[in-house]
Order: sequence, then C-alpha cells, then structure tokens
Amino acid sequence: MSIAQHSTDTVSRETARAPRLRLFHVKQRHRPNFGGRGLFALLILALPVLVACNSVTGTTGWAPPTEVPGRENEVIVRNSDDRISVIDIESASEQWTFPDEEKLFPGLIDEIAADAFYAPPVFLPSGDEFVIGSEEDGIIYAIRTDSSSARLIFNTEDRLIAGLVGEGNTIYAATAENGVFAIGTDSPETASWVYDGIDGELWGTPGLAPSRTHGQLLIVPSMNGSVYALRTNPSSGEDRLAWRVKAGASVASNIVTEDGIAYFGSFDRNLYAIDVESGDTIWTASGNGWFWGNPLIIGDTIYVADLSGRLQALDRSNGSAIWLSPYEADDEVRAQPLLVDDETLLIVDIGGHVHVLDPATGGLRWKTATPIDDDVLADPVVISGRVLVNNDDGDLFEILLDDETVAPLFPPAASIVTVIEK
Amino acid sequence: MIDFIWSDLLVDPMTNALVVLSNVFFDNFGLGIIVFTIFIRAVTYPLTLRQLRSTRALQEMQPRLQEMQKKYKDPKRRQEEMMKLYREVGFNPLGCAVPFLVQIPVWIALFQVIRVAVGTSPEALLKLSDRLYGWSFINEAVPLNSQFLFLDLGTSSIPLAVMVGVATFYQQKFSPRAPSRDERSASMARTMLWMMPLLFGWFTLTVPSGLGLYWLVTSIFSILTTYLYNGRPRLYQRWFINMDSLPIVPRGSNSAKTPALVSGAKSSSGDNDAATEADSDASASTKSEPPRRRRRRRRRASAGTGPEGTSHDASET
Repeated sequence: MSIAQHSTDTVSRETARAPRLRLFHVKQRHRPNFGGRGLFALLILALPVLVACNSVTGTTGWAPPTEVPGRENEVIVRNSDDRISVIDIESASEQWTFPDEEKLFPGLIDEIAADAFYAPPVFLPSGDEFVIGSEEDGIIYAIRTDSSSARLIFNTEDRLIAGLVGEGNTIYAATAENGVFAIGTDSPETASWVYDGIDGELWGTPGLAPSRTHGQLLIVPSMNGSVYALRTNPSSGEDRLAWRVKAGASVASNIVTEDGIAYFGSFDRNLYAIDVESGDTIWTASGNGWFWGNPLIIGDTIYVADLSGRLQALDRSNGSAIWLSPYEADDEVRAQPLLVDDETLLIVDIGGHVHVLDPATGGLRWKTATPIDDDVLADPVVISGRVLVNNDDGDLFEILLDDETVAPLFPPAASIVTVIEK
Repeated sequence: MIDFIWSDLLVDPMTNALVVLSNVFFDNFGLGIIVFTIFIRAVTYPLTLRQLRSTRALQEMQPRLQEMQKKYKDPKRRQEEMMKLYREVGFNPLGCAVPFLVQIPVWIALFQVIRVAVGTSPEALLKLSDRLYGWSFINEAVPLNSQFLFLDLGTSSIPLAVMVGVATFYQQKFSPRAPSRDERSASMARTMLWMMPLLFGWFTLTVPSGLGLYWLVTSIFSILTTYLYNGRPRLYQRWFINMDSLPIVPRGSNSAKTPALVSGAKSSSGDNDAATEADSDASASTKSEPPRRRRRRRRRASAGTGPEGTSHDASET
C-alpha cells in the first residue's frame, strides 16, 4: 500500500467515524434502542440461573441402607457428602465415614476424595469386610466393618454404576463402558478375567445363576438393550459368552435370578422372564412405564413396579396378573416393593409417599399424604426388625407400620412426615 | 395452566422430537441437536425476520432521530416528535422487542430439553423418562449416543468452548443494531462485543457439550441469517471496515423516506438528494474499497444502473 493510499484510507475511515465522534458531545438523554441487545443481555444473565435451577443432580441415593453383619443396629448409607456413613440406628448416631473427613483412612496410602456409590456394598465371606465401588473413579475398596482399615482392590478406570456381585472371594464388576471384570479379593489389583465384548453401557447389577450346561453364569444387563450370559469358568475352547437375549430397549434394572429363571425389566415397558439354560424368553409382562426397579419374588408371585407408578402382582409361571387391577401410585416408582411379615406390601414412590397395600388384592391400606422430604430412589429394607428407607440426600427414615407413620431416623433433625391418609 | 403450557405444549414435544431426530439421524445425538436447533430457528425465523426489519428501520431513522435530539431540547416535545416520526415511517418500537420476547421461551425450552436429554447419568435418564411419550420407537432410542466427532456431549469441552466464543464474537459483530449515539452506549457495545463471547465460552465449560453444540449452531445460524438478510457486503463492511456507526439500509429499499444523513456519513441511496451528498464523498470512500468492488461500481456507474444497484453499492462504502 502506498503512502498516499494509506493516507486516503485513513481519511476515509475518519470521515466515516465522524458522526459518532461528533455525537460524543451531544448530551443524550433518550436512547430509543429497541434492538433487543439489552434483553439479550438479560437472557445471558439468566443463563446461570437456568443452569442452577434445572440442574440434573449428581449421584443420588440409589443405594438402600445395608445392614452390617455381626454388628447389631449398624447400617451403611451414603450421606450427602458422597461418603459412606455407618449409622447406629439405635442411638441415631454416625459411627464413622469412608473416606474419613479429617484424616487418612487407616490402610490407605493416599488421601482419597469422597466419591459417590450407586450400589450397596457387598460383604466378603468372612463377614468382617465389605467391598464398594466408587462411581467416578471406578475404584473398588475393601473396608473392614470395624473401620480399622481399608484397602484398594482394583481400579477399573471407568465409572461404576452397576452394583458389585460377590461369589466367594471373587468380585464381579460391570463398569459403565469398559466391560465386566472378575477380581479376586485375595490378589488385589489383578483381574482374573475381563470381558469387553459388550457394546453398551452397563448400569444394572448382574446376577449369578447356576446352569447345568454352562456352569456358573453371570447374567449382565446392558443399556444397549441386550442381556448377556457370561460363563464365569468356561471350559477350554468354550466362549465366555453363553447366550445373549435382546429386549426391546435398554435394561437398567438389576438381574434377579430364581430357580433357573432370570427376571429383568426394560425401558420397552416389559418385564422379561428368561430361561437361564437357553436364554429363551419364557414370558413377558407389560407395564405402563419403564421398568427400572427390581422385581420382588415371593413364592409364586412377582411384585414389580414401573416408572409410571403402576404396581403389579404377577404369576411367576406365566406372567399373568394376579390382582384384578394393578395399583397405581401417585408418582413414579423406582424402588423395589417390600413385603413385611408376609402380610404387608409397601412401596415408596419417587415423590416420597409410602403406600401400604394388601399383598393378596393390591388394595390400599394407607399411605402418607405428606411425602418424605426429597426424592426416594432406594429400596426400602427391613433391618433389625425396622423398616428403613433413605432419601436422595442420604437421610434415613423409619416407616412405622403400627403407627402408620414415617419418622426421621438419621439425622434426627430431619423433618417428620406423619400425616396419614386412609 | 402455566405448567401445562410449559411442559405439555412446549418442553415435552420438543424433547420427544429431539429424541426422534437423534434416532433418525443415525442414532447420533450430535446430529440430532444440530438438526433440531436449525429446525427450531427456522420455525421462529419469521419472528427473527421481523426483529431484523425493525432493527433496520430503527437504523434508517437514526439520522433524523439524531437531528431531533439536537433540535428539540424539551424531552416531552422530543418524545412527541419521535413518536410522530415512528408513525410516519410505520415503525413500531416494540417491533424489535416482541419477536425477541416471544422467542425467549422457545430458547429456554430448547436449553432445558437438551440439558435433560444429554445427560449420561441415571439421574438424567430418570428425568428424561418423565418427559418421553410411550411410543416404542422413542423408548428404544434412549439413552442417546453421546459421542459426536471429538465430543462427549455429556461432558464439557475446552475446544468447543473456544469455538462457541469465536462464533458468539462474530455473531455479535455481525448482528444488526442501532448505531451508538453516545459514549456510554458505544462503550457498552464494545464491552458486550467481548463480554458475550467470554461469557458464552465460560458457560460452555460449565455445562455438557450438547448445550455448547446448541449455542454454536445457534450462533452460526444467526450469522447466516444476518448474511442472508443483509448480504455479504454488509458483513464485510461491518467487520473489515468497521463502519458500525453508519446506518445500514436494506438492499433495494426505497429511500424516499430516508432523509439526508448527517454530514460525514454517506447515503445508502442514489435517487435523492442524499445520494448527491454521498456521491460527493465517493472519490474518497471508494479508495477504501476492494478493487473488484470498485470496478463493479465503475461499471454500474457507466451503465447507468438503477437505484437498486446504486443503493447497494453506496451502502457498501
């Protein structure tokens, strides 16, 4: 560019900008700018609020309270700090947490961050040690029930959403993406075998089932809509995969096995009963929403709820309905139903309402009108003769069947929900 | 009622549509987001167009508004004259704001839809289940495949944040707006030009990439919309010559209503007095044009091109 041209360009630009410069000296009071920029800025400022208000929360209370064998009145829950918390339900006091909030947990070399767990712990045959898998890190720890020590068993280097399965001193871990690991607790940090032939995330807890033809089978549900049966000890020349059955949509529910039949629900709104030997479908029963909760098998009856809030009682032999009509809860139901003393069936919906039913007819006996504070995703359980359930935040509640109430157990300050509707 | 409108009429149908699109487009959630965003922006395009037209009309009126600012010191009188001018040229002050306001709920809904659908955790899927219809092909499609190119749409991405920032910057740069008429608004406009990309880039780092992808597509769509409406020369003009202070006049617009511009600025039209004023300045301004455009101008001048061609050309300078 020549000097002359550059000079002309400069002049031209200055001339073009002249009106704006001149206007700097004009005192402007009214600015009719309806260009929407201010509103756009408002929208931008609203974005953080939107993000905060519509946040999809992190790992929540999916794991039910778990009784600690050999230690009376002690239960394991996940607390709101993403730590495992051991609670004495008699004194309603916290005994210890893992990881420890203040010091390095005995037995561990490095400080570990608090991490959530989706599934309940699994106890090793000795009974004085339990195994848990952290969700984000995918690390599996074995922790002594007296909190005297913990040790790292295996690092899956993947997310752990599915629950661990224990068989003797072997732990099976189905990770979100990396496949299925068989880990010997006596030989830490080494996998006995790994199966990575599943193209899909694994969220549901696998189930173990003995098979005459295949030996022990590990039946693994997958979010790709298939369920895989893996031989835990294949003979020489045998494939790890024994069979595969395809459901209509993702399978996130746990596998429940009973008498050679595997039961699982799918997002295709069907409950499946599969023959463990052949992988053939024996029957299917349809629901009204996704099946995510686990079916409860009592004798010849299966109680199962779906995310539409429908609870059904099905005949185990053919999947036909036992009740005249299913029970419809107010809200979605993710938790497994619970039968107490063979005569009281209860479900807790996600909204926190407890529904107590007659197991023979499905008729409602009573339900709480005021819900438990926060969502309830975990299964209710009976521990030391008390019916317990934890909410999304890790608070522990006791369902008092005789009083037809729900009372907070831990922390004691949690709000009481006792308004009853009959 | 509000909940019904928001959930049943807006968010739920959009969620299901996004899932279906992802399924149709090769089980690819990324493609689903892109197609869905373009579809939504296309549906709301008439509103965007109204907004652009109103903004442009406001830009055209700027010289006269500026004159009024000088001429009428009494705010009340000035306001009256301005309203009179609005009526005269058929400009509705709400013409910019209303279409924008109407689109806001759609954008927020889209934001929510993607946020819920993109989740790769059980919690996110649980939320999504609440919004899906019972049709089997929808239920079979979830969870959505969160891998798209180099992105995991369920987690944040630094490269995507940079891309969103850059796209937002260009969107800001190209978006039509009324000329700044005082130092404060000019300073604010300059700040916004940098703040918005930074803000969006930061947001992209804090949310799943699926949302970042939505913002990226939205920005690109806005740039393209402005391009289609204003034409390439205007984009060129705004970016390379930095003539933000000049009013932009629509291609082929009848400038009979457009008054002469204040001294120093060039007219956008060639068929009135203002054109003469602009032509007098042409010798200087054409020097800043790229050679090809300068040749085109000369050709048109020698061929005696009508008002439309001249108008377009004049605005380029």
